[in-house]
Amino acid sequence: MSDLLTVENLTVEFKNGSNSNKVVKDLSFHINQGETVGIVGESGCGKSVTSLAIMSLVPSPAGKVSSGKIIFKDENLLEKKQKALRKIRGKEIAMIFQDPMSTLDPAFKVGFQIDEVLKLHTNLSKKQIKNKTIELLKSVGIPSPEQRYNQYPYELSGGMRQRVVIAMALACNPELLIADEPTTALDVTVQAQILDLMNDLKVQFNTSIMMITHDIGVVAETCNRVIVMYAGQIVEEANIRDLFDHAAHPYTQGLLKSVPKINSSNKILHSIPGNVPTPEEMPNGCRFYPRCPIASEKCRNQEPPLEKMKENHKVRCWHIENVLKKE
Amino acid sequence: MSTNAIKKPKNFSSSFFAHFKNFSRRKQGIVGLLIITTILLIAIFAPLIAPYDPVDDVNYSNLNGAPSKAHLFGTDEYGRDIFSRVIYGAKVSIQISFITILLSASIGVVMGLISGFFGGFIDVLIMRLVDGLMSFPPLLFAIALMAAFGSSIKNIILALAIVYTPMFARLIRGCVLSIKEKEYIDSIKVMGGSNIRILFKHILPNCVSPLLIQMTTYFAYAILAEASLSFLGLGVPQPEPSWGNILYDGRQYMIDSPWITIFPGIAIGITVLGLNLLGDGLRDYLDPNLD
Repeated sequence: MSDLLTVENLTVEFKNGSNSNKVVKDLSFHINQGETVGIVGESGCGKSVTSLAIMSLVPSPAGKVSSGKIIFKDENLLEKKQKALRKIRGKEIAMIFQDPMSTLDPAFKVGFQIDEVLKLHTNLSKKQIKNKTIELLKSVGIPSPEQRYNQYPYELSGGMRQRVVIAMALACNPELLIADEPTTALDVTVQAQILDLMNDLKVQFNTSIMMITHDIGVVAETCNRVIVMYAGQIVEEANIRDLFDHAAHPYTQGLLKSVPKINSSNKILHSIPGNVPTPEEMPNGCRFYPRCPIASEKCRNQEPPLEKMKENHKVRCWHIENVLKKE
Repeated sequence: MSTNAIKKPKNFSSSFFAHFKNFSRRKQGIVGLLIITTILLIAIFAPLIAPYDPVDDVNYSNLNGAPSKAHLFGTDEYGRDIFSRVIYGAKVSIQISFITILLSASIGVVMGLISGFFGGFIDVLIMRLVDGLMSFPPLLFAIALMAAFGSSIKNIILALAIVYTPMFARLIRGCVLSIKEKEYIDSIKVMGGSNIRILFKHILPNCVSPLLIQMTTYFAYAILAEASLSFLGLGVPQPEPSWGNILYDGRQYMIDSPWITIFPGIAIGITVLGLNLLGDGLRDYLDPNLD
């Protein structure tokens, strides 16, 4: 397996009056061909901004990618012209957004909207495009696709719409699919269906998936590897097994503890005290320091590096040894 | 067998007929539509309906004649048939207002789209121009423009279009600003759609409902404005009949021969009422959130 996408030292800044805040700081990771990588973290930790940066769609002029490289198939996307990027977007990298209720244009039939993607990126004839669209609708499990083709988004349920969105994203067999919380807005049962669908399609099309979510359950269900983000930084990166069995960073442990367990007698759910610091009041040392149960003086003043603990397992913490000992 | 037993639901959602049926449930809209269709038909077929020529059929033996069998609405100071003049007047008035609205809407839409979508300097430029134009009272502004241009049908259209364009620009800008933040616009960007495509194929179609509503409303304003200009002697040049013109002719005889002014007045009233009813009906139909 080779790297499909490599992000190196990505920093994204947002201007706020005269200040500029680093919302994503020195982010480096990679995604292999055919792999599903989960990016997990609380709201406001920079997950979505990272995905927008990969798409070169960071809202400007407020936001700006100030340094770093995003290498997709040996080419740095950040150096590309808009026109060249448009050819990549939708064709080689596709994206699924969180809320299927609002990601489809209410003024057009769903068939037309999938057609549009094909029209943008292929030279198929009108008839071929329609056939392909119907085939896509079928492949994402939409019953009677010929009929759905002529329906407007408001006539479909949330789950159906998310399927349409997935069909749209997969129209050109993209090599990388960025899924920004694809199941957050859906019912639990529908969630499971959509995740199954994505897993099936991944195998079928050999697509790499970057799964952005704050739901650890979704990660367990779909991912090979997990990146845990906190306040714009990676705090832990590990294989799915390692993460669930040997989580090293106190933040990851907190996240795992917050998942309700079916056989636990505890009535009160574990929670990590405090909130993600806003970009204005980012602590100097470790960014997790104010909320960390094992924080020390060193954590307050010095920022820990992202250190390799073992093969495929990196952690950003001064107290890895202590944490492991505690287990 | 089993597949045949399930009746295929008829797909009404996209047919024009279904939309019409839905619209016709709102009574005021359908009344407005009927009025406007009738008036449009009268305007289009004016030469077939009018019994006399509105300009040349002068009859000095029947000046300011009261309504009679021969002249349903009476005659004016030159003995011309008012019924014919009102019918031809419909043609002139509606033509002027229609072209005015089309012109100002198309220019205003382009201005609003550019301004709202690209923002920044170009937005400031266009919006300050719009503010400037809108700071004049509309009718007064039209009068000033007409005084500068001289009165002809072409100039009325031009003057009124200048007055109404900023209103459309502002409406569309607001609409673009709200729609461009919607997620589906992001999702088209992510699919590789260009700015032009997003602007004209996705933002514009989503602005159509408010645009249609505003166009009907301003159609009514344009008819009133044309009538006002003509009434002030700045509009359609004599002897061409327009509703405002006929009013202007009749204003000296209002006590003795009120029919000269009453009938074109009623025509204006009905048309404006019809347009407003249609506009309200459209608004209720297209924008159910507005209640």
